[in-house]
Amino acid sequence: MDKVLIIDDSDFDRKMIKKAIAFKDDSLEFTELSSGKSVAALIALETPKIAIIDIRMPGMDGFEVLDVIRSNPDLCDLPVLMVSGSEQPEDREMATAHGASGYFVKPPSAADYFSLGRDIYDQYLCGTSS
Amino acid sequence: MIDTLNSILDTHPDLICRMDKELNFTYANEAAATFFLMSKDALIGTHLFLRSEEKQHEVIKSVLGNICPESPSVTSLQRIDRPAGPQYVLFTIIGLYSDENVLQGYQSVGRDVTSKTLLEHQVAAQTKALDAVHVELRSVLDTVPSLIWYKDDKNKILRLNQAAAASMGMTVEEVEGKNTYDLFGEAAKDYHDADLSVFNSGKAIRGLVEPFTPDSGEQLWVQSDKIPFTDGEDGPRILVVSTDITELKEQEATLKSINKNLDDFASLASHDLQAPLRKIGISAELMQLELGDALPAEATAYFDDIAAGVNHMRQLIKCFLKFMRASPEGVDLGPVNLNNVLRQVANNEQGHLDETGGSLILPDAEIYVRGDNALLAQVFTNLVSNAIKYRSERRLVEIEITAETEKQYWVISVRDNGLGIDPSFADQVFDLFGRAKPYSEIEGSGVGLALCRRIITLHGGTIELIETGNAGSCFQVKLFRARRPNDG
Repeated sequence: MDKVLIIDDSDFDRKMIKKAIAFKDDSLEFTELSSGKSVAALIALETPKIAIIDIRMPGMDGFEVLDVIRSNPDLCDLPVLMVSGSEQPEDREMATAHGASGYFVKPPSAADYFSLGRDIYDQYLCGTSS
Repeated sequence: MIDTLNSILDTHPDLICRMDKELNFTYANEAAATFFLMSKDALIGTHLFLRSEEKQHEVIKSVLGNICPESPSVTSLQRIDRPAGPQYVLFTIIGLYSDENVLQGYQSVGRDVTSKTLLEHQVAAQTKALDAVHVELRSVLDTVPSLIWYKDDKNKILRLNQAAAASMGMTVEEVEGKNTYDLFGEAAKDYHDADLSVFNSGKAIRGLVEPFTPDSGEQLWVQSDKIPFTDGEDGPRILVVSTDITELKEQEATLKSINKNLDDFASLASHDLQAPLRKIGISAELMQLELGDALPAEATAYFDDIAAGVNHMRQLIKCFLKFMRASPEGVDLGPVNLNNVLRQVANNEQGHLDETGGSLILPDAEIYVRGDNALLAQVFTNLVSNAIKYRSERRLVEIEITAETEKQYWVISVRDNGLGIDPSFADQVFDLFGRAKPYSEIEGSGVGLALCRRIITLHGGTIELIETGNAGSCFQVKLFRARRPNDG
């Protein structure tokens, strides 16, 4: 069963991302973390199909979490999407520089969230179920 | 024999004469007679004091008093005032003594040294004046706060002022004439290289900002002008004038840090405000989507109110962020054709004007100002859209933009016939979120005019509300005039 890892300090945003992707496929398994501190240990145990990481988090920020993931040679191809609460041009550049697969701004409405969930599913999860 | 000798002396250019011991002339050559303004024959037999000024008599007596058999010769420079100017004659007077050392008379040889003496006086006066200039220059050099050095192309410091010496922890005397390599070792190479590039190019470098570490060890910042020149045949020279701008650099760094903090704060505030807003909006939307059928009909209206409130708040945050980010670094000031800007604003607002049946008149004069196209468009869009938004329902909207020059400014007036602003609120219209209270029921962010003032201030200009009342308002914007750029 494909796993989706969501790391975000906001319960609400984790819930919405999960809801939006699960709306397309309720058989997916979701792992939620409110910080990136334990990401290395977790990923070593169970490799997700995709990781979605919030950029601004207290303590370890999203780019540091991404660096930890990319420092593992087994995870260099893992799709990682970076998420920001508001549009910041420098965030998009930093995401690319740190080796993220994509970047998106948290949608302002539920309809947009579902549309984003559909796009993520189609691009990274559709037809890859194992 | 004496006649033969006298005939030789007669035409000698020096003044030659003989006197008896009572100082009566017994011989005078042509030059001496001319000196005494008489003929030779008339002079002979007369007394010296009859042929000289009275004030000279004591001097002559004193000079002759020094003559004795042991030291029979004296030399004396005499100044004689002539109508054409002073004449200087160097007299050598020899006492003529008998074998028994009895004074018999005097022989005098005088040489006109007027040209030489005047030249000496002139040189002395010029030397004195030069000394005064030197003292004055030194005083000026030592009074200015700048650090000043003269150096040669071998990195030798020829002259410097006290401030420069103090910055090196030394006195002027300790540094002048020293080679910078002897004072600073290898560290002097950087300064020397920079100087050599000036020597080689022959062009002055001005406003060079460079770090400078004086003897105290604390790093300072100086702004230097390096000017090459040649000093006669002594070879190339360089004048280095440095001004300590450490305080300015520190202020600049503080300002940058404050701006960065403000920017960070704006981003953070925007991010932190967006998060709960998104939560409210999305939750309300989900509630409507998922429980829509189960909710009473009037609940839909409440959800619409929530959505409108969330949108309004989102706009406010956007405007706030825009306001905070309008910083001097982001402003690119160049010549802007304001007529084009105003035409663009008019086009954008035409729809709103048509809806209200209003009119907008633009200025005829060609206006070029120093500014940023996009930011100025934002200012005038704000003013025009405010004029439409705060219109009076009793009359059609009339907006007139006029322009006139005032010294180095273009003064642009935007006059409307709208509601006007209560004079007691007029001071607050440019405050952030400082909307004119009586009209607070009209939708607006309260950021627009604050942003206008911030933008115009960044342009070095001013924006003011100069008139307001029941008949409307007039905003005045002053911007620096610019030259029309060359076509092509």
